[in-house]
Amino acid sequence: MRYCWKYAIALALMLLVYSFNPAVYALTVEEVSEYLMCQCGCNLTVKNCNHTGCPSATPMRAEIKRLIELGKGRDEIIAVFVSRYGETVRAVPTKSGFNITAWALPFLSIIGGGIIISILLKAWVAGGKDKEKAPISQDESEYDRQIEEDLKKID
Amino acid sequence: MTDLGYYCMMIAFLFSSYAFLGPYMGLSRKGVMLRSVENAITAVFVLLTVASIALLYALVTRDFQVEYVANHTSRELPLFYTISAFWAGQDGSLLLWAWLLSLFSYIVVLQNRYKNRELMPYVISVLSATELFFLILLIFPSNPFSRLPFVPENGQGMNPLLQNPGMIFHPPTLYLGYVGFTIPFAFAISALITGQLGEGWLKSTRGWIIFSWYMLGIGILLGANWAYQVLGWGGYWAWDPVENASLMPWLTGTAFLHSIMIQEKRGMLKVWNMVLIIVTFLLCIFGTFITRSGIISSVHAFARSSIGYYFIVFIIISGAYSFYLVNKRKGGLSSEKHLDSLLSRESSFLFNNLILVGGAFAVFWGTIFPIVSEAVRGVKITVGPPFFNKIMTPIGFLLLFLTGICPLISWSKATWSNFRRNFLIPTISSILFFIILLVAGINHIKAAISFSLCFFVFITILLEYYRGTRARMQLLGEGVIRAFVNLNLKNRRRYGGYLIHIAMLMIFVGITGSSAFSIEKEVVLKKGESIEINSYRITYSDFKIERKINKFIAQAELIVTNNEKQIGIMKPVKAFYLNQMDQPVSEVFIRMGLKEDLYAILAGYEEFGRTAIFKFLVNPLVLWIWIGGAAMTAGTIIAVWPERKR
Repeated sequence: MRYCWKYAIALALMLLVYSFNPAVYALTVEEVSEYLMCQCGCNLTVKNCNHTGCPSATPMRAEIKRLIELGKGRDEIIAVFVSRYGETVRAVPTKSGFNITAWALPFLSIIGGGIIISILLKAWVAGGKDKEKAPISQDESEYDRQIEEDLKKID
Repeated sequence: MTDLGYYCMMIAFLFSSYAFLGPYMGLSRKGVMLRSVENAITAVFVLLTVASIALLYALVTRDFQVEYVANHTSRELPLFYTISAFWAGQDGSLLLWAWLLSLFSYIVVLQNRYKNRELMPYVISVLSATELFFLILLIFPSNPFSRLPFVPENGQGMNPLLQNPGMIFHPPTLYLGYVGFTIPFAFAISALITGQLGEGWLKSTRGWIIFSWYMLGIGILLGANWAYQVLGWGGYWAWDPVENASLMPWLTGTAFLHSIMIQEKRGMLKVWNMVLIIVTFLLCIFGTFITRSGIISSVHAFARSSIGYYFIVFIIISGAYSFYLVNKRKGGLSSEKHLDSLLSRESSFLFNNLILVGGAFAVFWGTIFPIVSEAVRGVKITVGPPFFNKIMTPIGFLLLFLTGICPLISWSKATWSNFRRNFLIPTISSILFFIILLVAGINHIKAAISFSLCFFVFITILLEYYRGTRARMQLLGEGVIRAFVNLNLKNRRRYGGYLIHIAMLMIFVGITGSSAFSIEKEVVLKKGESIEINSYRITYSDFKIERKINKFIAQAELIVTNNEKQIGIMKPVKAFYLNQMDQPVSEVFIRMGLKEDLYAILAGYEEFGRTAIFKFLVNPLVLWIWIGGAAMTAGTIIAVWPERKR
């Protein structure tokens, strides 16, 4: 049983590698249009704008299709639209310059919070060794405790 | 009648001022005067009820001289939506906020007639301060009773997107959540002012906390359902600023709901709990601010105005005062901080809190980043759905993982052997599940991870039910069904909580399935032509134009077959509302199923329907999101149902 974990993880990793299909990947209009904002004022992406015959989304989709057929990649197509409409056409901030803070700050704050919590927990455990165990509140349901005790007996 | 409504708001303002200032004028020290302040709360409730009835009367009688009525209704608007016009616009929805707050304040006064007498003057003061803020908005920049200098023959009507049953329930439910969080906030501030920093304020507001959290959650789901059925792009969540504004307080509220358990059971995290409820309240106000100010571009563009400055001032003042109080009382809030082991439920709850608050921060940061970018670089950028999907996916995975492990670790101290015993089966089975998914051909790795984590959490909860039921069967000799039922009935809070966790799993499964495996096709079809999508064959069979009460509809008829067998007829519609004929609205047709939804949009048509443009989507597992909402309701009812006294 002790080695079950290791075997399971190794098997999972093998299948993970196997499952990646290195076949040629065809870019679709949807995969590009979800990264571009419609310019009609609907505040939806080009992919999601549902205005009938939208004067912005419809020609943008056609242009994306044309550029894909010319063999352009997603970033190249987005660059074409940025040169035409400016930065606001991007649905996602770039990962450079000041925009990198948009991507990094949420994760940095979680990592920072994790470090602080770890330090606090270690300090509380160190404090706990010198003191008696704090009583569990009487508010905890009597039944809750009974179940825990019963489970301990059975296990 | 509208004059009466306006005067009622004015008098309510005076009573609220009295209730706000009462405790600071020393009135609270005399019981009689406290009763007087409580009576002021009753008066505010009665006055705002009259004001609300006055607005409803103006709406129903189509008093178009009232600007709000003229802007949001018309003679053709059905009565159902005429009533919902109360919260369709800014002025009315602010009146709804104020009325709900007056109702909740009145209930709090009734609940605390004979208890919490030290806290109550300040609770009333905080509630009244919030009420005053909304009354200032209603009396000055956002008066729902303001009159036009003439009487228009007809009103402009309601935005067609709002003419949907979902809009009847979505905004009020959301507001019940927003307003509800004002109650625990008021008690928290009152505890800080009076120095009564024990668990009393938490026990008094536990029901309010769960109620507000639930209403906010259901309000979000109803909004998602409305977007799915009405906006007609095939999705239910677009990471729109207004959607984000409702998600943020729900996330911090969820963190609060978990962390108060540590304070209740261990007396720890008092400062953190104060911070969480203050942040949740401020985010509720921020949510209303985002919705109403239009400061960030949003698909909810029907709600823009210039009242943003009022909100900013209120948020700054209430935030500054609240954190000043926390800082002032930090000595009293300190608690015995010691644990016996790093591996304990307290530590796992802390990490759960970190992820929830981190998630709320990620949403907040993404939402305001366009403003930050404009302020720093002078360049306004857009932060759209792909950004949030990328940021929130790993956060969601971590949250799922912690949802699985938190409930099964003991309070104070857990041993590694206990930990292994509890998690061996869930871990091995979820790894096997992951492998099965890959072998079955699911090569979307993120989806496979998400499903496997959901499976992991589900197994841990299932084992918890199994262990509890088995314990009852062995010790009390009960049969399996009786033991299972009694297990739930005898500790409703715990098992109601587990049911809510299962509901969240259903929602995660629905989100994962629809995000990873949705298929869409846009086609132009002539009558009689067909298209194949997934295993469905859809034939465009008929088209008609009809006149309804307040709109013309163009309706296509589509025959749907699956494996050569006809399974139904779909009738997507393009609606032309009389007041906005130039802006047709798609009314989608959805064939819902547990496995997948077939979603049809009539995007356009030519030559009276000889050819039509359709967009079809196959959205897997979406129904589980709405089932999750129902399960969340059941879990919440079980959790808050009073225990029978023993």
